Amino acid sequence: MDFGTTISRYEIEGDKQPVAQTPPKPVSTSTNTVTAPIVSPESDPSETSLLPESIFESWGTINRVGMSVRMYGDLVRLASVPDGWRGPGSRALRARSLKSFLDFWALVRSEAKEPEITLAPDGMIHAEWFESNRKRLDARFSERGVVFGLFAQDKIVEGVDSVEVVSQILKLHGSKPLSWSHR
Amino acid sequence: MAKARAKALLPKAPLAEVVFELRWALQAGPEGVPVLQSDPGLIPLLDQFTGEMKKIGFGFTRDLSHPLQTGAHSVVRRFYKATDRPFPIMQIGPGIFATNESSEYDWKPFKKQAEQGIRALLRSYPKLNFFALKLIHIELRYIDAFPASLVGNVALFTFLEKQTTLKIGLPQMLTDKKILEPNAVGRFGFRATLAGRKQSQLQIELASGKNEETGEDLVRMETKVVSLGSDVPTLANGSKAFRAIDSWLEKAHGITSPLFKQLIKPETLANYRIGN
Repeated sequence: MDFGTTISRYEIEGDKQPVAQTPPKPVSTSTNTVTAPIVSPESDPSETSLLPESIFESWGTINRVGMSVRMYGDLVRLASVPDGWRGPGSRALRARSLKSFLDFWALVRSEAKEPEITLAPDGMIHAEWFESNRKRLDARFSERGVVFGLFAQDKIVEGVDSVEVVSQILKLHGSKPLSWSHR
Repeated sequence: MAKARAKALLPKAPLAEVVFELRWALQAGPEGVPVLQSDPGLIPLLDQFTGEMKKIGFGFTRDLSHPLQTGAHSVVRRFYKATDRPFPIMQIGPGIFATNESSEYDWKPFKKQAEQGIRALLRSYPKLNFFALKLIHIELRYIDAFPASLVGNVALFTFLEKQTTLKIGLPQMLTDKKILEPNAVGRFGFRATLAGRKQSQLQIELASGKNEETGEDLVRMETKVVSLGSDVPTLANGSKAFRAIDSWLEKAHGITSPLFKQLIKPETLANYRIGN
């Protein structure tokens, strides 16, 4: 029994089973007509560009330091979340945290594996290098510097310092934590 | 394959994003409230289009708003290939389809991606006896970034003079360092109708900008070809519509691609490859 509920759709060249012929001419009835005015692109700017401003504005650093498509994708994802993403008070990615992370990455990239990066509720980038439960490194890139915690060889090293100093500490550490990666 | 992709390096290039966008006419709002346009095919379109997207690997969705509470030509749902891959992307909403790629862009795969999206749209939009799908806007848009840290001085006119082939003369007073600092910001726009196409334009916009938090200056360049009204391929003959859109894409790319090579100096582009 046909209740007339089948939806027919437009035909495309190459389709094996065209579902319908040419579209019907619009029926001109009072207000339900296909008479919508053409929308000018000038009066209606597009919202389909997706690249977050913070990524766009860091384009120089992103290009300079170099990274994999995957890490770039991670950064874009983190930069896409709005304020309030994790409840009231949580913040979108701070541009200075992104800069701090990219500056750090530029200094360690040649001897580091790409970390797992996430966004902390305060808008700071959190990076993790992980080898096992007894070998892990966490770093948070704040506007003032890098807060890091390293657990290796049954010892804990923690600290807060500039990007330059922390990168040196981690590069020189005997357990080579920047080469850890669970990926 | 996934591992190889994960290790692939992000290309160093000015291109930040490319977008192909298609819009169709909406049903007019009530008299006196023309802003209340609606897309009568939207709900069945969303359902069917989501199925079509899954078939071509865009199986992850993100809903941005309720479809019945979304403004005209705004995106309702985005489709991704994986949860951790923000690009490529397909987008759909009342009166709008768009697909984007990032700096991984290459014309042929992107064109294929756009074609897949258009096919999915045409396959998914319901045929209604009171409303016909009528395309009104088609656009190919490139967004490039030229940061000071890579290309040097990005004060707008210095950038135009040194990094592009544009030649814009300024009166002596505007370049007199005793009067003005050489850090002029600004915006340069160029719009021209395509020959023989009254409702098609090439648009170029160059604008200086600054990352307020980090202080980095840059120039943003948007280049697009856009057609409206009668220059947009018609769906009157459904079987030919796809070919017409395909032909429009080639024509648009045939303008933007050589234009970029003519407009931006090779030495500017070489800055992106240093350190690779």
